[in-house]
Amino acid sequence: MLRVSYGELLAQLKQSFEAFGYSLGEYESAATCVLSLELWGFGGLALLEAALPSLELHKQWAPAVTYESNALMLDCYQGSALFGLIPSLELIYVKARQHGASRATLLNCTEPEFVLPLLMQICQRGYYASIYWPSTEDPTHLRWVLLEGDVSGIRVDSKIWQASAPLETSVSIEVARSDSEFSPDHSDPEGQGLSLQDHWGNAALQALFEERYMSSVTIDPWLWSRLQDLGRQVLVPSSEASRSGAGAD
Amino acid sequence: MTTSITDQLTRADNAIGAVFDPRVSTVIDDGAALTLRPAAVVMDLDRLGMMQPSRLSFMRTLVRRMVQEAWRITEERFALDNDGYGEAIYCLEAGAESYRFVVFSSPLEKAHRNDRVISNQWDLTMALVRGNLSDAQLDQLRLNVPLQEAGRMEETVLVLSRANRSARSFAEVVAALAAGQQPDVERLKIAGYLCRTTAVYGSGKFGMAGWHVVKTSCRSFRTPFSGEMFTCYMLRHFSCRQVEHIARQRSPGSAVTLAPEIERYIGIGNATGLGMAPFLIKHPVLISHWMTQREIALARIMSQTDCDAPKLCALQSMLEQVVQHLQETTVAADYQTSRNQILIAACLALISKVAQPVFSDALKRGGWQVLQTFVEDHYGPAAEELVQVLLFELYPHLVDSLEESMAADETLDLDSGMTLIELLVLLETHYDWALNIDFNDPNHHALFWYRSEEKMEPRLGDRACDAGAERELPLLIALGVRQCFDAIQKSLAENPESLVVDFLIEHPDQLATVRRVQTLCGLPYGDIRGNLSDRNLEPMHLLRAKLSFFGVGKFDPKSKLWVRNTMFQGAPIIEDLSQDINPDHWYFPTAPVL
Repeated sequence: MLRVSYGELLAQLKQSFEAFGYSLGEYESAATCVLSLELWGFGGLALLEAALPSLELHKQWAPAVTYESNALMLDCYQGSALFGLIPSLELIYVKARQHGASRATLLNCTEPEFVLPLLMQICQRGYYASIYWPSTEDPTHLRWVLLEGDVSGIRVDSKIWQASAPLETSVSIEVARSDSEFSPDHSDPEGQGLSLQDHWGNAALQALFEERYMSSVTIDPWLWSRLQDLGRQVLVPSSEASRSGAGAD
Repeated sequence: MTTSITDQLTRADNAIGAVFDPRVSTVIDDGAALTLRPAAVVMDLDRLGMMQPSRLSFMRTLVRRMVQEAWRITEERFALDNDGYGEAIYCLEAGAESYRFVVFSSPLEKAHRNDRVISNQWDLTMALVRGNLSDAQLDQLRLNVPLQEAGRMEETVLVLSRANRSARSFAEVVAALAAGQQPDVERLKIAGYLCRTTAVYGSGKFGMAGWHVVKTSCRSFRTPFSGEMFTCYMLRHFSCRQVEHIARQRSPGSAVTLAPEIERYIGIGNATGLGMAPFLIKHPVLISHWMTQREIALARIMSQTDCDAPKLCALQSMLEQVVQHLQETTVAADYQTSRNQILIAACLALISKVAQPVFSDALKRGGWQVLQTFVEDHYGPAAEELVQVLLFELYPHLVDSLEESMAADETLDLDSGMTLIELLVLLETHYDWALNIDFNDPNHHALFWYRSEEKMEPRLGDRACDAGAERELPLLIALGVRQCFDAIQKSLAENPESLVVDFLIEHPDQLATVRRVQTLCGLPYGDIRGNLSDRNLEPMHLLRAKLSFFGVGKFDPKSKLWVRNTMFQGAPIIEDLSQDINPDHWYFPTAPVL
């Protein structure tokens, strides 16, 4: 495995997403999402590796947004949550600001984990959020993440619940001004007949984050090399004429 | 060592906090409101090209810290052959921290000696490493440091750099020392260094420790670029030991070492190209922070009214020193020579003016603002920028504390709940300079910036004839603002009640511009007010702005696109660090008289 610094990886990710045709704001956001997820122990790089083939193959479309009051529906057209979700999530936030809480359902979204860092940014404005989605390997398992934040930092709980039967495949998000404004099915999974399988509390996740943040990031050399190859697509071939566009000897 | 003309003046005391109020051009500073210069003046691209190094420059800050904290630097290994090839290791002990500076010297054919970042071989390669150095680590460094960008570093490495011997001075100085003589000072006025660095990398590149790690866990290098500056300082020291060593091998019985006065006058050369320019655009929050500290320092001084005789005398002495410094500066470009001549004339005129009782009485009555206005009215912005940094020297207690505020959290915030009309007003208010550019005129949209395949070197292309415009770097802030403004107007025509979030759902590609505008409206010095695609762009202004924050001197443009300069010339040498010296005597250094 190769060790790269946080800044080096961030720069490489930005360049790679730029090569996919993402605009400046989008590639910065996508790179930050991958890295944040990695630092928080949610396997950002592994998710990216899995998503690369479809990212390279398909032109992405921004999610289609429909809403009524504070309930939103986002269709991602089988696209990655890495692309184009910031405006939609900002809309969820604005609705929560207006109504106290807002909910959104993401349809046809691959790698929903990438929504997490975006929700973290919203929570840092002093909001609460929860998100859950069924595991692709076992649709009876539901990954549930609760976030509480303010400008000084973020508190994260990650739980895996098990149901007796397969669950709906959509991603469900709720953003609220306070935990008391969460709707019951976002604050009380047990009330839906789910049993707790695994729980990572804030302290453990925070410790992992700080350890990773203050050291370098471990990355598969193949993935690093692939990202570098992708990044090279935004570089311009050199020529004698272009050399003179940088200085003189 | 010469005595500073400001020795008798006050020294820096405790830091005083400054809080920026984004709504008006003032800061609340120690309970008092200070008016800062408007961004339209400070961030004008032409004026940025006139910036001078100051007490807040990173080299000055570093040297102050080295002296105040009594950093101890010792040689641990010096294994060079007769021609100066081999390796050396120096140990830095700074409080409880220790670091190693490791340098490798290799033979280099003359044909391969090149200042461009795209070079692959150098006379010297070096690294700054945290902590002790094991044999295994040293072996890793031997393998990787000479490769520079092609190598991989461990996370104990903070800085990576390389340098070439100066074709103008290195051999001459060796020959002089071998002949038992000190180097010719007249020749050192032309090239005041033995080696010239061509790149200094930090901030986590090539596997090195990231900036956030350095900032939080390396106290000695907690301020921006201090590790990079220290690496250059050590290169300066090594280059002096290297020429002495070669001279000694050449003439074992008769070679002499450098006189301390000469050694202090030897700096380190630097060659800088367009690579610095994108940094200024990509780090607007940091740049605003740097500029704000400078402007706070200036505003604090402008509010002083103690223009007494000692201070006016000190100002005159400093102006005389600047005149001598500029007279001893040899540059290749005619336009830079002309600028230096104009500055010399302004300094001489101001020296005479300050000596006039009527004028000095006016200063005593009206304070430094009177001087500022006079210089602005009579000598222009270049002299104004110069006089400002000289005034910094008179008030270290008002300036030096600001050096601890040079780092910044660089997050750009998004306020998606803002009404779109508010965003439009922000654009009209804060980005009028960008909206006034007519991008339909091909000359205003002529150039593009891109990264070359060759070591990702930033380059400039002409849209009319060069390939690569489809992959241009997103550095054209003014154009982005124009496009965003036009799209907002269209959206508002359809729905005047729109929020920013509604706009972003329709125009996700505007996310970066919106975030930047919303953030920088509270940070007035974030964006450089210039059109980076204009056919008449002077990229040198961008380089000069950043280099002034580093603290370089003897700005010597070799073309519109790259510049030679000198670092640490006149600065204390290692032997001085343990002495009770003023660490700030070395601004605008002048040649020693032996």
